[in-house]
This record gives sequence, C-alpha cells and structure tokens, in this order.
Amino acid sequence: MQRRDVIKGMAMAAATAAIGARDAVGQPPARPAPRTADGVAFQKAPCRFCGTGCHVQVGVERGRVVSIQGDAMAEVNRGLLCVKGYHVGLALYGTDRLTQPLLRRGDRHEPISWDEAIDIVARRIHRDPSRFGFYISGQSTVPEGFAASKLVKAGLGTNHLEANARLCMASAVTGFLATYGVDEPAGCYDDLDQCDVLIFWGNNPAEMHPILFSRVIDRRARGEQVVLIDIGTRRTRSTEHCQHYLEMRPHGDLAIALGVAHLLVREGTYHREFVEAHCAFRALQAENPTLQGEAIDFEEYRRRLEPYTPEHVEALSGVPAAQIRMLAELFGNRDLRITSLWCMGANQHTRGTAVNTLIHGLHLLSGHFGRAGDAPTSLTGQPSACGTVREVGTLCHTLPGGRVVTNPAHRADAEQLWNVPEGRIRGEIGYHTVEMFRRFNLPRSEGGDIDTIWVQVTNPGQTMPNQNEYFRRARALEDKFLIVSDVYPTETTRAADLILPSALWVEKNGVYGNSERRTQQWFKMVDPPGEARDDCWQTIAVAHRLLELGHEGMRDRDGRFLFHTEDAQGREVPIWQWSRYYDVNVDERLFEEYRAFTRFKHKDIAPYQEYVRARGLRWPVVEQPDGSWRETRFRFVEGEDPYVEAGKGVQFYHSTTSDDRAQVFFHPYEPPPEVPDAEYPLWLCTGRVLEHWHSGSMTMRIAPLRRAMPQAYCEMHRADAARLGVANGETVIVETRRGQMEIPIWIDGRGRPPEGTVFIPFFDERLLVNALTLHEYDPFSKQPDYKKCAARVRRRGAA
Amino acid sequence: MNDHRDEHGAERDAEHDRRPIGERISAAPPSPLGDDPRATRWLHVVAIVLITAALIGFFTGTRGEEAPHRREAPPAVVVDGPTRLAPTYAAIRATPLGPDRDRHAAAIEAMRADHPALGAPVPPRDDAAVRVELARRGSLRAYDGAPPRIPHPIPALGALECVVCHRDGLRLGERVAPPMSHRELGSCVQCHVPDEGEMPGERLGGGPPLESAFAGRPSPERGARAWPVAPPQIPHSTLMRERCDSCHGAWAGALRTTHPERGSCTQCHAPSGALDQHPASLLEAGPPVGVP
Repeated sequence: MQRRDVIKGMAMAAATAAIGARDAVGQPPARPAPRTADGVAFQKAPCRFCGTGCHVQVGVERGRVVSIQGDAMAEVNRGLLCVKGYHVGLALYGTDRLTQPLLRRGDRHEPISWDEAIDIVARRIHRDPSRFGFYISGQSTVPEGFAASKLVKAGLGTNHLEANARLCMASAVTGFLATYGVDEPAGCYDDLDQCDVLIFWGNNPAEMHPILFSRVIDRRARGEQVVLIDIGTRRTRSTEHCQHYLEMRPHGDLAIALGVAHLLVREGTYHREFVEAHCAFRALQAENPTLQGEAIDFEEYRRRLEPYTPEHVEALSGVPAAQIRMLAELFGNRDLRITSLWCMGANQHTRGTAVNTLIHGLHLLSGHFGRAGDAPTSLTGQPSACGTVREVGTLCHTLPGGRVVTNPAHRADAEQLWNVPEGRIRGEIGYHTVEMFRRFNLPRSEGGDIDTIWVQVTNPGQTMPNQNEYFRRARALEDKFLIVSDVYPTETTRAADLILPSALWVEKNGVYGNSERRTQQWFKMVDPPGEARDDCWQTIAVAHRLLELGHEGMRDRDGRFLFHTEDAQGREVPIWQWSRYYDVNVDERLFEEYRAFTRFKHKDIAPYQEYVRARGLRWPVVEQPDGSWRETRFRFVEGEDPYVEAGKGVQFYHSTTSDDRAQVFFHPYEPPPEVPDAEYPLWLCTGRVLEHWHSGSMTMRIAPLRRAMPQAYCEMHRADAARLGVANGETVIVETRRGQMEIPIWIDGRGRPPEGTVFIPFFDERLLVNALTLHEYDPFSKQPDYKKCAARVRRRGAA
Repeated sequence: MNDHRDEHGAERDAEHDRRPIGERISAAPPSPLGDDPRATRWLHVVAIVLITAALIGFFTGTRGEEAPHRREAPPAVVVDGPTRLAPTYAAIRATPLGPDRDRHAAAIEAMRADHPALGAPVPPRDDAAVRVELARRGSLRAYDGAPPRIPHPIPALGALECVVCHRDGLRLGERVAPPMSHRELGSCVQCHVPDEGEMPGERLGGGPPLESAFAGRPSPERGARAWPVAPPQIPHSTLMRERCDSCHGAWAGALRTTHPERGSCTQCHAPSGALDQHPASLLEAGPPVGVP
C-alpha cells in the first residue's frame, strides 16, 4: 500500500465516522460500513433508470461518485448492467444542475430563498386546496410517494394526486385487478430462467429491459434452448434474436390473443382441470361496462370466440393464420413452460385493459400459470412505478396498500392508520393525469378548475400526449401556476412559475420497488449540489408551512403535525427544517408507517432494516417462526406464497368473486380510435431507445450515451421513402391532426417499421414528438395511447 | 526466471472526453524471433511445461491404478540407495528432450509460426508507453471498469456478430480485434455502444449541455508487491475481466505480460477481494435472505 492510499483510507474512515455520528443523533447508527477498496467507498443502490431494478455498487471518493459496478450479490442482475446502468453515476454531474429555487418574474427565472419558495407553494395550495394538483412519479421513492399521499389525502382532504405512471402502466394495473382482484405480477424474473418459450407482446426488452433480455439470451450461450417470439409492429433489436416474428397491425394484439383462445377452445387443448378448478369467465356489460364486467359461462365464452378463426385473425391483425396456429400449439402444449412479457405496447393502448386481461386469460386458459417459467408478467418502465405508484397508491383513486378512496371502509382504515379525524379522506375520485392537465390548460370559465400543479420527479412538458392542448396552453392563461421540482432544466421547468432544485438518487436516502415486487433500499452517499434538497423534505416543509398558515388538515387527531417525528428521547425533531432533516432517517420513519398499510392486500413488506441488508425482497415478505423474513417468488402458488392455504395448489385469494377464482375475460376486437386515411396515410408509433431513458433529462447529459445516440429521428420503410421521394437522412415534416415537427428520416435504422408505419423516439427535447400524439385513453385505466395515430410525411417546401 | 514488470492498471487522461475519434484497433507488436537468447529461454519454458505435463500424467496414471488397492495396508517403504526427489526446475530445463524430440521441435516451430507474438521478445516496462496505452484505453471508458465503447461503426439494428472477431482476438495483418475480457454474453450491444453513433442526415445543434463534472476513477497504474520481486497484485477489479489475456495477452502493446505462455494468472497475481465484491467485503456478510 502506498502512502497515498493510507491517507485516502484515513479520509474515508473519517468520512464514514462522520456519517455514523450524524445518524446517531436520532437513532442508533443503522448504517453498515461501506466496502472500501483503494480509497473508494462502495455501497449498494438500485439503478436510477428503468423498472428492471438492477442493483449497482456506487463508488464514492472524496464526496463524489467516481465508479459504478454491477452488484454481484443482486439476484436481478448478478453483477451485470446495461450501458445506462454503467453510466448512471454520470447522471449527477451535468454542468447545468438546478441549484437554487427560481421564481418566474416576467420572462426570467430569478433566484429566491428556500423559505420564500416554500411559502409561495404553501400559499398557492392554501387559498383553495381543491384546485391544487400534485403530480409525482414512478421515479419518486416510496417514502416520497407516501408523504405526498399523506399530504394530499390525509392533509388537504382532496384526491388530486397523480403520478406519471398513469402514462406507463395504468392498463397493467386494471388488467391485474380485473383478472386476479389484486395488482402486480404473480411471477417474477426467476421465470425467465425456466421458460422454454418467451413471448414479447409489443415489447423490446433488448433495449428497454436489457438485463432481463440478456438473462434469457445468455441461457442460449450456455447451450439451453429457448424459443423467443416477438409480436410487434416493427422489427427491433429484440426481433433479431427471435425465432418467430409476428408482425401485426396496430391493435392486432387483441385479435391474436382472441385467435389463440379460439383455437385452444375449439381444439380442446385448453387446460380443462386448471380452468374448472381455478377460473371463471367474464365479459363487459353491454351497457355501462365496469372493470369487473359480468359473469358469463364457458359456453358463452366459446360462442363469443367463435368468429376469431385464424383466417379472420389474419385479416384483422395481418399476422398469417399459420403463425396463429403455431402460437396456439405452443400454448396447448403442457410440457412447455411459457412466459409472456409486455410493457408499453400493451399498456399504452386505448384497449390496454382488454389486451392485458386477454394475455392473462391465455395463460389461465392453457394452464401456463403457477409453475416456474409459466407466467404472464408485465414489466414497468420506471424504477418505482410499482413500489411508489401502485403499492403506495399515488393515484387519484387509491390509498396506500391497495385501498381505494371510494370504499368507506378503506377510508376509515387509512384515517385510523394515519391518525387523522374521521371523514378527512374524501370519497370522490380526483382527476386522473390527462384530466388534471386538461383542466389546468383550460380557463376557469371553461371548467379549468385546476389552477396550481406541483410536478415532482417527472417531465410532463415532454411526455404528456398532445402537448399543444394538454401542456402548452396553460402558459398563456391567467392565474395558472406551475411548480416544478427537478434536477435539470427541462421542457417542464421552462414552463414553470416556480422551480425547486432537487436532490437526485444517491444524493438522498431512498426506497424503490421494481417490476417483480422487489422493494429496494439505499442510503444517501453524496451531498446534492448547491441548495438542491430532497423532494420528500420539500413536501414536508410545505406541509409544515401550511400548518403555520392555519390549515387544520396538517394536524392529526391529537393536534400534532401530520409528519410529527420524534428522536430516541421522545423530543420532536423539526424535520421541516433542512438543517435538521437528516437528524433522523425520515425514510425509515415513513417506511415503517407505510408498512402498516401493506398487509391488507397481502403485499406485506418487512421492516426497513431488512432491506438495508438485502438486495431487495419480493413481497409478500412474511416473518418466519425463527424471526427471519421470507420473500415470495410466485404468488397464489402453494409452497411459495405463504397466503395460499394448504392443499389448494393454486389459490387466487383476492378473487373479485370471493371464490378463489381468477377471471378469464372475453373482450372483442376493436379498431384504434384514429386510423390512417387518405389525408394522414401513415401509422405513427413512438417509443424509447437503449441509450436514453424516457425524456432524456439525465441521459442526454451523459456523454457516452448521447454520443452513441445523439438525437431523435424518424424511422421509415424504404418503400415509403421511395414513394415520397425522401432520401435517407433528409429532414422532413411529420404531422398529425394535432401538431407537426421537422425531423430527419432514418431508413434501416435502429428499428425497421413495415411499409405504412413511421417511428419516432421521444427522448429528445429538441424534437418533441408528443406534440403529435393522441390523447385518447383506455376507458378503465385512463392511460393514453402513444403507440398509434395517423400521420403524414412531406418534404420541406412541399405543400 | 521471468519477472513481473507488466502488470499495469491505467492512468487515464482526464481530458478524455475531448478525444479524437478514429480507428483505434491496436497494432500487434513486431515479432521477429531471430537468434534472440530469449527465444532459447522460451524453448526451455516450453520444455518445462511439456515435461511437467508428462510427470503429472505419469503420477496421475499410477495413482489411478492404485485406487482399487487403497484398503490394503500400505507396504513399508523400502529405499535402495539415495531417495529419489522431484527434479528441480533447473534440472528439468537441463534435461534433454526424449526420443520424440524432433517432433517436439517441429511442433514448437509450427506453433511459433502460427502465433509469432508468443515467442516475441518483451521489452522492459516503458512507463511512458504504458501511460499512452492507458490514456488510449481511458478514452473509450468513463472510468476504470466501465464497458469500453466501440471505436467503429456497427449495424444500427444491433450487432449479433461481435464475437466473430472478438471471441479470440481475430488478427488481420497488423490489426487485432481485442478479445473480449469476459465470458461470452449474448447481447453485446446492451453494454457496448459505439463511441460515435452513426445516423444519416444533419446533426441537430443545441440541447442539454454535454459537458460533465464527472471525474471517473482512473485505472491504477501498477499493482502492489509484497517485496521487490514478488508478483504484483491485480490492482483493478476482475469482474467482467476474468480473461487477463484480453488486455495483457501476447497481442497487446505496452500492457503485455512478459510471460504470455502462462495461462493461470491468478495463481500468482491475487485479485482484490474488496474490488471484486468478495462477500466478506460487502455491506452485510452472508447470502441474500429470503428465498428458500
């Protein structure tokens, strides 16, 4: 060891001791020592990007992140990462981090103090809480989401709390609720190690969930046989690895699922014993349909499937009848293990609930459920869409732990757990995302009764569909006030009246929940830049300012502050003061409070300290007689899920019909709301790429990622380009009924759409494709469809 | 015996983000065998390997035959004359090749012809050249241990054929495709992206600033030695770098090992448990909890 290393080691030890000492003020130091290697202190954290939920080892030296390793102990990624994950540490170090609160004065954003900023937010809310919308994120941490929910639902007594996960996985939620009566996948990533057949339903995991994709691809490198099937509307990097590619027209997924179900029933290859023991059949009511639909019998189900012959499905979907038969044969073979994966293709769909339930239905009908490798599994796009939005329930109709605001018993339960007066929580559903922004972008006189929105950890200025109508109009309206907490300037901060600089990822404590029900914890490792502060602190500080302004909702039944926190000696810790915020681990306090909510729907989570030790645990996590905590890989399966009764085998214990049965739904094929016509003859699809994460506010500032994928583009088929007289690389005008943009054409690019389809990724703030997209949404999930609308392309200068 | 002067890490040019882009496939070092005395020494090394292998084979074979008789009491050891000890390395080296020496010699000549770098002389460590090489490597990595970026264009839809050149380090003339440093993984472009992605058309200006205040951990320059001639420890993580020859093999430039013929590197060069996430070094010892 060199002298330099000794000095570094001593510095690290001192830094570690300092962290420990600070924690010790409020509680025993519950933070293990980092792994120190050559002066770099490594600690675990879940990756900041997608919903896969890889763990990284973050290397910190002299207060800065200097290195990233894949976490070898993490079951999700087993030491490997993707290119975004390897460069996640760079996300902190863009040169234009927001470092002080900024208030719009005229055309400028001018610095103000945090005290002023918190006061402004509180006063905007206080003047009429019913006109205030809080819009958070699937990147908010679990404690952040829980604090936001408590502020809005238990404090303000409104339900105008939404999260951007509405735009990415709401249809997955309604699919699970309709089928099983409870949200989130029964299976997990272990299925990927066991399946013989893996089907991508409108999904491109090679780019969007690379670690899950390579987990399967690497099985092939080890000599295992896995059949990969891609059902999609364009060729992608995932397709390149697949044995079968079923190229469908938009909404073809509905027809394909119906066609397979038709064949399973007609040929008698469905799994009769499984269906008779564990399933029931449902369809939507003819009038005023509900998510739960109405019961139908098997004969009725068979009758409704009758029209969906392979030939008819071919006509609807464009997929050859032979491929439909091939899929049906696979599903009809019980010797195979079949896993389905889907993400935005099925969810961002005006019939998203229908597609989701139909895919679940295929697995139930064929009995490809409940064995390792047999699973219908939806993936999420954000690191805590599941943990924060779905489990905590940061949506306009939900309460923590799977409760809903419309159920009086659920409200009473939540009021009890939050220790707030009876009747505090409102029973009316608040405004969902599209509706919240619609009302924010309308004058008061035209029904625009939302006048203040606080956005945390997301970028609706780039990601709301139909931007011109649903985001930009508000800027010209009187008395609309947009508050944005973020880490970098974005399309949203540029429209903001007040900008609050936030701490990012390992600049704060956090808890995330990934796509396979895995709850993951990390500690703060470096300080945020300038005056940037934790989002959760911002929420609590505003709550306390509201208390000072006299808002009675900020008190619990005992008259104490809603976020009352005590130290080990029982003295109140003023966590609303930034200088005192880390005197206690606020995350741990909120997490323990949230825990009490989680048992109701059997989504039990373990004590915070269990997650400190683990690389995440998949709920339900149940305490064992020896005091240890055991996670659950496969839900509803005896021997795996502790809530399945002995002798049941498979038990859907949250069945909507209270008889332990899952619902196999019939939904008819329906065409998309906007289809190409003579005026707008092309399909426009939008999506993501490997290198960039969502709106690119982080990854576009990471040089290796930006250099690899420098800008957005428009993928087009060679034949369409020839017909339009467009050259490869030529900048053209793409337009829809809602907006237009200039963008270069890429023929044979990252993806290969078929003739008649163009594709544009949405990561580039200079090329905002969401000015073109459609705001139409699924009737149950309220999730908009970004994957299909009618567009046209013309050369610049041409009429 | 050989010394161990070749174990370097990397010191990276802190300005690496402003690097020029271009072809960066490494040239192999010139490899004349000639009458260099090192070549002779190398022959001795091969001889040692072969003889050792023969000895191992002999003893292994004998033991195998003994197995059925294990239950019997071992016979008393009777020694006639001086005890036969294992030969020293020096003695082995001095031992003439056996009756098939001509075949051995021909085989060694053929191997040399196929892999000229194997027998090439290794100049003493050149610190300046090492720094140049580390800077070159650093220009393709955000920090030590980051997956290197690809210094050439790849098919946009994704490259499935990376391994054709990068599995074992395909050599074409002076150019060598660096062999992958890890076991074969199937989705190469999930970690390795082009250093400069290509797409047609004009490049758009503006957008978020690309400058970064990130300063990645540079590769260490050399490993620690317990005493002056001890084999140096591996100064970097070996995660995803389990194939040492990828960077230190016969094809490599300044980072090349002095003894490429030896295949079991970690027998002498110890990796760091802390850098490699040995369980004992992690936050909490012990296996993950939960799964039965």
